[in-house]
Amino acid sequence: MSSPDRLSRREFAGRVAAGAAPLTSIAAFESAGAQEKKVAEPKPPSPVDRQLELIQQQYSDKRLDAAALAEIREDLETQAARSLVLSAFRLTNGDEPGYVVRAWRKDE
Amino acid sequence: MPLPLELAFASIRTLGQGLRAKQFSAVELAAFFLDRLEKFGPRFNAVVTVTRERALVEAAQADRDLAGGNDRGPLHGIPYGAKDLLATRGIPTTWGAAPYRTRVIDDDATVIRRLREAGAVLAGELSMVEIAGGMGYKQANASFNGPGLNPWNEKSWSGGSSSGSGSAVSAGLVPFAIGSETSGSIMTPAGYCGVTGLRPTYGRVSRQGAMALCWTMDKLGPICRTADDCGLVANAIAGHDPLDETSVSRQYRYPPEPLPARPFKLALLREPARKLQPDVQANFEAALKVLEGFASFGEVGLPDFPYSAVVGTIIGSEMSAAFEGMLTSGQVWELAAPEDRVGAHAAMLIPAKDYINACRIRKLIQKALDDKFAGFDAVVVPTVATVAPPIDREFRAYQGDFRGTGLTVAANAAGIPAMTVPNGFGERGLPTGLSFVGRAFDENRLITVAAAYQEATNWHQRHPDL
Repeated sequence: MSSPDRLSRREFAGRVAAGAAPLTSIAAFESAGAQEKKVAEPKPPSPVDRQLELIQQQYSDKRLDAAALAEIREDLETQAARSLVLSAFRLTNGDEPGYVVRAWRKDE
Repeated sequence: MPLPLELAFASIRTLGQGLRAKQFSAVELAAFFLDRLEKFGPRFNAVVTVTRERALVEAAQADRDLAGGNDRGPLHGIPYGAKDLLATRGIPTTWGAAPYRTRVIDDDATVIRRLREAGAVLAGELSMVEIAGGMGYKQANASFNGPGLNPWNEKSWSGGSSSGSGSAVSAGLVPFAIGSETSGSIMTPAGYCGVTGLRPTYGRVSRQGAMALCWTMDKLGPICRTADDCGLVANAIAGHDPLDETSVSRQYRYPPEPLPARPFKLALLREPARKLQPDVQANFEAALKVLEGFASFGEVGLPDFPYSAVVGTIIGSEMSAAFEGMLTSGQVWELAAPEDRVGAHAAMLIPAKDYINACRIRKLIQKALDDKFAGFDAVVVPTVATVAPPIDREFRAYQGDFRGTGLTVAANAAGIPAMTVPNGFGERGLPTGLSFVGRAFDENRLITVAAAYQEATNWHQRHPDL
């Protein structure tokens, strides 16, 4: 079984990213013509870049230095990879999460 | 007269027999283990607080009860240690983390209360990886009182996150300990330290009063010298608790009646461990030969699910909710491991849909594993792919290409029980472990099979020379 259990975060993110490459390539091909007409527009921030920026805003701390941000970026990449794996898993509408929730009232 | 050293490594039943035969009193027994905790605990970074005063009060009560004919059962007068994420009245509960080193939760966790009612004597709060490892530690120095050191080789790790629970039992500082597991935290230190550990079914043991890392995956269980001891402790702590709505009402009794019949039906994973350290592999194969004496073998395949993504997402999501306050308050920057200080940030942004999808897949995992394991008393796997890493190396760097079966992650996702027993030694004189994994609520099958293995071997009777 190709479980990602034995992979490091980077390996795992890399492999999932590699799996997603064909989709990225199609999108890139479709937009290639439009991009040729434009002159060197700045590359838009990736979702991970945006998340990293949000974390810096929400949990601002001077100790969030370059090394710390690199660690957090790695975690964000892992999460993004996991997200793809979870979304790709086939679930039916009837597959419930299995929460344990009970109505509650105080004993009288 | 001082008690003999061999009592430090005796089983709960042996200690109980000594008490009832008046070879020693509960107070003498408590003093014996308290002295060992104070003498050796700091050497292995195994102990946060030695609870001498409380222990002697509880032991004196145990002596009075026994003298008055009120025998509370097998744990009566037996000292123990608790992982320092269990609330204990009047004693700091640190969760292994510097921000909480003086914090007192002035209440007893349900497990502590039940053990007291069973006559057990709380001798110490044992060290653990900060926040039970929920912040993603990558090396051993991840606790405010230092890395857990292995009694078999003090330059090696004790395992985590129940570090002190594993090392204190291994070093004979307590007869048994309580640990907790979200994904590996009982099995790993028990395996690395050469002792016997039981991870009960999710919901079998109340978590009331225990630090929550992941509400839908946290379990509490015993680390002991023998499988039989684990059953005795589980018998005292299992059962429904109205204060923990996830605790189940299904009764648990040990010893079981009737006992699972021999020959036991065991299963090997069709896709075995990818690559084990050579000593781990050899000891596993030797253990299978022993098991062949009283068990038949079949094969099961691990169903194809994204176990790691499911478990990582669920733990990350629940941890982020439980510990966001540590980020906003800046307390994370007080943690010991640099990687733990920034280990929770990304998890704050896990999308809700990912958490819910992970929970949906988990439910399918539970059904699929139960279906696969039906008809077997246990699935047998090596506990960990390597012996304990050296204290100064990152875990992944030491593991290299060695990888286990992935069953630990899968079984924790499903909330099913497991038991680890020592099965030999590997490099640097460190123990290796053998695991039995079973269907939900099959603890007694696992204990019975493991006890049979321990009847046929003596690995569990070996102990480090201190």
